[in-house]
Amino acid sequence: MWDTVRRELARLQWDAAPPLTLDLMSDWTRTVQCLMAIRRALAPVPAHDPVALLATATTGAARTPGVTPTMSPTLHGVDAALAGVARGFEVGSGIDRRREVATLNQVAYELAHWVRVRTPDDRAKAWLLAGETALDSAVHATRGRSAVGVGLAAWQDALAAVQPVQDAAIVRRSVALGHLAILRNTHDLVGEARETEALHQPYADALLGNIRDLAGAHQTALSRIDGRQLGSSRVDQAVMLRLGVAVRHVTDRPDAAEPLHVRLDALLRSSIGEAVLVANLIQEPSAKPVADALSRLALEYLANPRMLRPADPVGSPHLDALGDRRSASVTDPRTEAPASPEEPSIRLGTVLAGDTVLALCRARDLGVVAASGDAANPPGILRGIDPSRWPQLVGEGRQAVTDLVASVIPMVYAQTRGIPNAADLRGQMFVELMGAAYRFDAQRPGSARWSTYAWTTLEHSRWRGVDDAGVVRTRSHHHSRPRPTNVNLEGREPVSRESDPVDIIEERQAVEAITQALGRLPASLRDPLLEAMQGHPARVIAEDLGFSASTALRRVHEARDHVRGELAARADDGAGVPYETVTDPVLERSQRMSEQTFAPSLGTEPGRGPDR
Amino acid sequence: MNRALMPTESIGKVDLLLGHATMLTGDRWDDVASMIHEAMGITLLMATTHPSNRPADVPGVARLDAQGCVEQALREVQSWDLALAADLPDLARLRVLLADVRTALDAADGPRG
Repeated sequence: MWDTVRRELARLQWDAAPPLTLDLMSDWTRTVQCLMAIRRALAPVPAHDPVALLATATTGAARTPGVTPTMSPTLHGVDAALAGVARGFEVGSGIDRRREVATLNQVAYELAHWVRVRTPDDRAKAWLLAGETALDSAVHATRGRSAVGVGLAAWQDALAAVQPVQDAAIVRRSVALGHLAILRNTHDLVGEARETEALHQPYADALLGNIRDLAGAHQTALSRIDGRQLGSSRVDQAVMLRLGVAVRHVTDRPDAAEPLHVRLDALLRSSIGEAVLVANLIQEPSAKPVADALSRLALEYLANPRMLRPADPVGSPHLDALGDRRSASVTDPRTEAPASPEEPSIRLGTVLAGDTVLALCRARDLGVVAASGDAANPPGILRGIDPSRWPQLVGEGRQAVTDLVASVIPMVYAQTRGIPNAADLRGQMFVELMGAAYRFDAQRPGSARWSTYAWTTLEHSRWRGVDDAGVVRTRSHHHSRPRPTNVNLEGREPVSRESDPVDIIEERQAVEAITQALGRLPASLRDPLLEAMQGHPARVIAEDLGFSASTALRRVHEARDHVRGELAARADDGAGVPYETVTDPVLERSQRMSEQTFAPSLGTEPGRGPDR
Repeated sequence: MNRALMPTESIGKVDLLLGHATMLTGDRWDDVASMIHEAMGITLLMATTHPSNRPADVPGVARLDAQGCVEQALREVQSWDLALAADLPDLARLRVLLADVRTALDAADGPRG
């Protein structure tokens, strides 16, 4: 039935000397009439039918004033073929009308596109684009467009699914091709962000350079895969299908409604489509270091999401919502800093008062419920709130979670200071903190404070650790760091809402207090203590600072006494609980390490270095 | 009315050709490369949804440039029955993309002998 149409469409594309028309729009109007004739022959045409919308758009294009006729290949052959199809449907029987309508929509879409790209006038072009978009929507109605985040989630899922068959050439090829598409999307977005100064230029340049290098590595990997062998690989079709769907997601046209900074944020948060995992999968040696570098850059962004600014925040509904909130709560510390969604509205490390944490948790809970609530049957927490305000609540809820995380971010750095692969661990910890911010229940009787809860969560995360690919590793005494002795979990989960273990560390806000105490030490005491806290043995400290190991040990002890005294004084002032119940894991670790490493070395190296 | 047969071997060939074109344009960051990537994504999904029993082979594919790959892929796609549109929702998009890429590459390289 459609064969003649197919041949005419091919002729349009390949005919080197096609018959011409002097007025493309007149030709196209006739073609649309033929398309409508087929549509009517198949079924009654509702007003919202895409071919009907195309007809309307074509009328608009044809009536555009001042448009000069365009010479182009004529559509007469196509018209004749379409008329033949219409006649066939009028007299035919046993027609699967749904399938034929689908075919018609695709033919109409292709023709509308062909005409649009040959139409020079922008106003007429805009009309034709409207018709083309209507058809495109109809063609893809069953699939639906996906946001970047959804596509990346599918991608990650597919990468996990192909792990057992990653040696198959067809899998490595598909992964490399899909990731190339992700890289070029990111390249476009970063380039645009750089142009509009939404990203700092040096950071954007570093990203672009690494993206190009990784794409080059993927090209090398692909060039080594023999395409003729692909079909001989025996790979589970379900796995390949997942991979195919994921690649289709990531190569799809971007959702125009999704702003640049949202898309780029999703890509960076996915460490640019799991670059490290992809590098491992495709087994190209030159890809690994570049992927690592890209991952580190993405972690820099995670540590400071403010480096990406929305291109056009003015008048956005989110900002309006934030404006409402600011005026409603003038004493809220969040009002001190300008805010935009998903960026903290407070300075990192701001100590939040109890009532502020309660307010943030309340906003978070409202947002979570509003995101999935049914306006016809509102959940209890939303009763009395106009459903038109729910989207605003969702935005405020996300902002509340971001602020909760921002208030404790310095803990991440405290937990990872001096640790190998700290960047990887930090990325994992940010994710853990985000989860903790969603789970934390401020109203539960006897629950810990938010800062304590976050600290305990991080302790848990550090204890579990991650490997270079960001995968949580198995707990092992061989490569884990000493467990802080001050937290007695007694069989409880570290993220438990029970208060006992966390009471010990609750009052500290320890890192800040100890940092201040360290800052007040004279350099002669501070430097040995800092080295000891980094795990350096007495011999190394002595060599670095130019005195003997025994002096190093003495000064470390003296420095620790100073810090202890300072913390105790702080506790007496009411700023915290007495030092006896407050220990800091960093300090505790330094104590343990110095005891473990200094004591045996004293006897062997008493005379090294000048004893001052 | 009989349904059109799915051209699985031809889909495999187009997948091979567009994969090669994607590899060749992996260091291009313009709209043409973007369209080739989108076409590749469509074809890869088609190939995984409708796998062929026989390995796809396009003689001399390794020697083809991006333009050659796209032209050959376009000829393959245009040989498919349009009635497949109901089973291949991205068919029209693929045809449009390949035609546009071919036009763009022709314009960039000038007429071929």
